[in-house]
Amino acid sequence: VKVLEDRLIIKLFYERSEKAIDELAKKYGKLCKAVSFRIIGNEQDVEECINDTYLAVWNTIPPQHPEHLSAYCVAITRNQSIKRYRSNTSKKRNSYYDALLDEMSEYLASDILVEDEILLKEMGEYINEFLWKCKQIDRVIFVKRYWFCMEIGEISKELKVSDNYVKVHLHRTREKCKDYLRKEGIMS
Amino acid sequence: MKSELVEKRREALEQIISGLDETYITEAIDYKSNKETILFWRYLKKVAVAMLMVSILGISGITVVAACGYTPAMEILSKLYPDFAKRIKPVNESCIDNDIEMKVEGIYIEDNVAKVYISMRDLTSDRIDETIDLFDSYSIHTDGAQIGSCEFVEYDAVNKMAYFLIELQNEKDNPIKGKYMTFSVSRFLSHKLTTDSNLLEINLDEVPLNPEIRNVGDEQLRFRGGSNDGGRYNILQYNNTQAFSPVEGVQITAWGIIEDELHIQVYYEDILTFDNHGYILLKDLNAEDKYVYPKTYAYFDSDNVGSYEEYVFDLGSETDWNTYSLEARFWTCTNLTEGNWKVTFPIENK
Repeated sequence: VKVLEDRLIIKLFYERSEKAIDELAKKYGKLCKAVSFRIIGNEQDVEECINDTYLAVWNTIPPQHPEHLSAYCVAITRNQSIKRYRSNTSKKRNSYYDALLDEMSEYLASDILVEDEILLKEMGEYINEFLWKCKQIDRVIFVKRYWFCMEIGEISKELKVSDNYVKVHLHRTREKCKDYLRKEGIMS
Repeated sequence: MKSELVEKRREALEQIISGLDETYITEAIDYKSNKETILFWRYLKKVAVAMLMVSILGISGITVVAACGYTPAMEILSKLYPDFAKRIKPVNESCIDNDIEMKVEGIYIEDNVAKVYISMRDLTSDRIDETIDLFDSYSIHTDGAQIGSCEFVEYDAVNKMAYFLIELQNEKDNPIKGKYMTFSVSRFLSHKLTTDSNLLEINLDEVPLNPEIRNVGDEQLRFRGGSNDGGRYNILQYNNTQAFSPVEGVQITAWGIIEDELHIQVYYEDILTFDNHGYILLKDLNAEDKYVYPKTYAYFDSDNVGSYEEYVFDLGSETDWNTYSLEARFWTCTNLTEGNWKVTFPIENK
């Protein structure tokens, strides 16, 4: 079974061929499902989010011509999944995802921040800057943990390091990030 | 009250993390393979340096060394990156046709995944460049069911070499080693062009209202996109007086309004050989990033070589065309190189 190159999949979207969605699903469906499941935590909602993702990709390419189809597609899935998660009732809440957010909470969130949209946006920009200055391995671990919502064990297995290595590096990155934001006057 | 605050904090964090730069997301997805790829390119450079040194010093016996699967570069590599060197297996398998060499540089296997690095080099001229495209002319054969892909990785302008990465994955978690792979390429495109145009020759204020049309059915179409109507469609007749070419390989062959819809007909020459293709959108000048997507009807020319593609924009009869502009992009090529490049090698670690 041949998997198409990204540019050929994008070409199919430009041709408005329905094969585009099949090829996208074949190549990135698994990745998108994994991210969605980590956020939502139930199969049925995940399926709907994945279908919404394909529809959103269909509606945005063209005119978009993403340089990285994988990131483009999985970012849409993530946003769809968060929206779905936020609309879920308390019975359907995923404690894993909440715990993951709480893990960062003491480092990055403050009561002032949650009320201030502009400050929130500014903080996002500073975190991007901070990550740029980090070592690549620390940045990758941070993104895998908090953006892809991966478990510690999944990250260590993928990067061929120990669980402890991941935990220690995450802890250090969070601490450094907090210091950086303080120095920049974003957090007190 | 407390739980409300906790929830607000979570939402704030979500918003921050969702705004992480796309580059970091891509980096995290590709990190594993990037690491291996970077090391592999360093390895290739060492090979090149070692080969050069051997030829400068006039040391004979390089062929014998290479044939044993142990290049001088492997020795250097073992010292520099012992872990990686242990995992990469050099494969001295190559073939030459039409003065172009295709070579298997190395193979790396882990569990149910094999990564094979292939290079292509023009020995006599400049037919290979950074736009090289195997255009689906490659095939991957193995003695089992796997998912395979081949992606262009890098072009080395100094040595005029293009590198490709073949990834082969067993659909189940069975180990992949112990099989043979045959990789073959029959042709490739290069020196491809990307052309953007606003098609100013088409004056949207003066689009013909009664163009010559013909009626076609689904069975005559190569594909139909963006519409579910099915059945039969009115499309434009080729119009010699309107035709113009925005770039070699592409002609705009007619345009007009049919049943309140704007039709623009484009002819892509020899699509099966040169993969000429493109798109046209209508941009709403009163809104940022607002586009109108067309329906498309595509059909082969009478020789089944080129393709007519008709872009149809439905904006209703009251459309003020002054508030729109056309945006087109075309990918074209005129350089095709053919040959019979084929390598067979075992998928195994050292």
